Amino acid sequence: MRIALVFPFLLSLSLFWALPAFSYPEFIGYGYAACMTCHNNGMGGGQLNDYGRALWSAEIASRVFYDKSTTDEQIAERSGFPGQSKMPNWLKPSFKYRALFLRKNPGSGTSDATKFYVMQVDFGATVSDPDGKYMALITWGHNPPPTDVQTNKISRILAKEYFARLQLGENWWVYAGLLDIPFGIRNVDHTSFNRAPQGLTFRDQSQSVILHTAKENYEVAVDAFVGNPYVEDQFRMKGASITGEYQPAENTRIGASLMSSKNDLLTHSVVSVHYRKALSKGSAFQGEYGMIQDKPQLDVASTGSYLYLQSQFLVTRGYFLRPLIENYKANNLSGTPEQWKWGIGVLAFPAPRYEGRIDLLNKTSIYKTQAQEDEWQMRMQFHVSL
Amino acid sequence: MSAYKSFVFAGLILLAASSAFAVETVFHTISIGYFQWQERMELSSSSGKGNTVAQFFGNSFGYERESYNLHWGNSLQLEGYLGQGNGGRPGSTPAYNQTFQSFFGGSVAYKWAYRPSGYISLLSGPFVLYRGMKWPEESGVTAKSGSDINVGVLFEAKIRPSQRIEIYQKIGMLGIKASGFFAAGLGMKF
Repeated sequence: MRIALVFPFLLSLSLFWALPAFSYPEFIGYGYAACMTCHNNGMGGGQLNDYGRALWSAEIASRVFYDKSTTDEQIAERSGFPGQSKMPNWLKPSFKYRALFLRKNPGSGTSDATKFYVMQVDFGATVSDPDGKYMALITWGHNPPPTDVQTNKISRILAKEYFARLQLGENWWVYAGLLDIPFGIRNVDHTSFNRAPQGLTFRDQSQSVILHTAKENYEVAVDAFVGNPYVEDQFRMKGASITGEYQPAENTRIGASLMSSKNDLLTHSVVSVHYRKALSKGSAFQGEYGMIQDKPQLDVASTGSYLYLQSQFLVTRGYFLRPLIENYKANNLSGTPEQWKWGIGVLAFPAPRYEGRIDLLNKTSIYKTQAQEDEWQMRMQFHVSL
Repeated sequence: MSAYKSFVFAGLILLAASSAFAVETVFHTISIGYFQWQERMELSSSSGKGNTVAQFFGNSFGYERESYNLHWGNSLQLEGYLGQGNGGRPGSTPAYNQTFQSFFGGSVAYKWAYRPSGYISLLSGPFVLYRGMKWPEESGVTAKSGSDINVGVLFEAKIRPSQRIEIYQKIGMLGIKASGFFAAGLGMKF
């Protein structure tokens, strides 16, 4: 019932609003290695800038719904905010809806295994001067408390992201506000082993001051953060991170990241190295390996490791095949299981503003003490980005 | 015919199939990697029978010959496996729990290949897997899992960051009392 009500509403909105907010570091396969090319947040994610919107429509999304006489340039011109000409150019609204159908162990016959999740209902706005030297951005979003996640109750709308951005020089920017912590490959899947164990998911934005520099062959971001204001004081992670990438060859990037944070209960440190490379137009490979150390205040430290390998192959414009491998061990010295994810998925942008994903995922845990039955997941996602 | 002989026979048939293909480019690759799969395990004792699962995982080493006619081609791959198996779990009925049982095995795979660019190959085809594993008896409970010889289908994606090095990922399904087969590793072309 909720879907029946919400979907037509979103569909109607899509006719009037402009494109949105993704983070796909795999799009180095199109020659766009730096996040700042498309995003207002130079470390990736969040609302797209005008160039990112145009690029999305004119180069990445399928053009099957446009006739042959419509050029890519014309599609790009339509990618902006509908009605933009009647609005001041310094104001850019955005909207994003993301839903997930998750079925565990498809074919097992269990009737309760399919679940529907509203993953994202975000709306926001960016204001900036014509040159983009001064910018302020805010995104409010559906951010339910954990008790409401299972019910899909839209019970809490919070300002998930807000920041002011100031360009200090040709290649320097400073950000202040509530932002994602810059670290590693900013994979869009918040359940991934290169995002969740590190504390870098959709709930983990932190009040930060970030200094960012980006040049042709390298970029570095340094972040000092004091935690998420929606989290109780004793759980707020305060600390710092640094992440950098170097481009040794065209459309190839190697990087490293370091983060250390603590709250009243835990000291959390992560170090990683990563690699991204374009393979051919639209196709790319990226991988990240890292180590995580957690030191509870009243216990001994545990050190674990993770691996994330993602390929993306362009099948035809707007459609991609995406094999995935992930590995995670929470504590390399104890009996915690070695966890694996093996996946194959299809990512589709059938038209500008729309995205669909189908992923088949196998999750295996290998224990030292027993055999454990693996779990299969079928994930189907639908996104509307306005 | 023993399981081992059947495995060799299947390999010879696939080798003959792969050689009957007009080619422009041939790659020879040696590889090392990690693999895992799962089998259904049947437990039997004087007091009754039960089912559980067995996991197989370990390292692989292999040789592959790929032949391409511009974008399309085929491949024959031979792999050896050295690994361990975990079978059963505490609380299973009948009670059975064995971990890190060593085994060796191998596979032969014939794959059709598509190479959209020099950096990417996508392959798919049948494979035959052999593994020698005899689960030990535990307190009167005997265990048998899967099949010594198994057959399945594979999908494989390869990317080549450089001319010689490749990274591969395989996702497959095994047909006889088993489920997904997964592998990943590094290859070197010569």
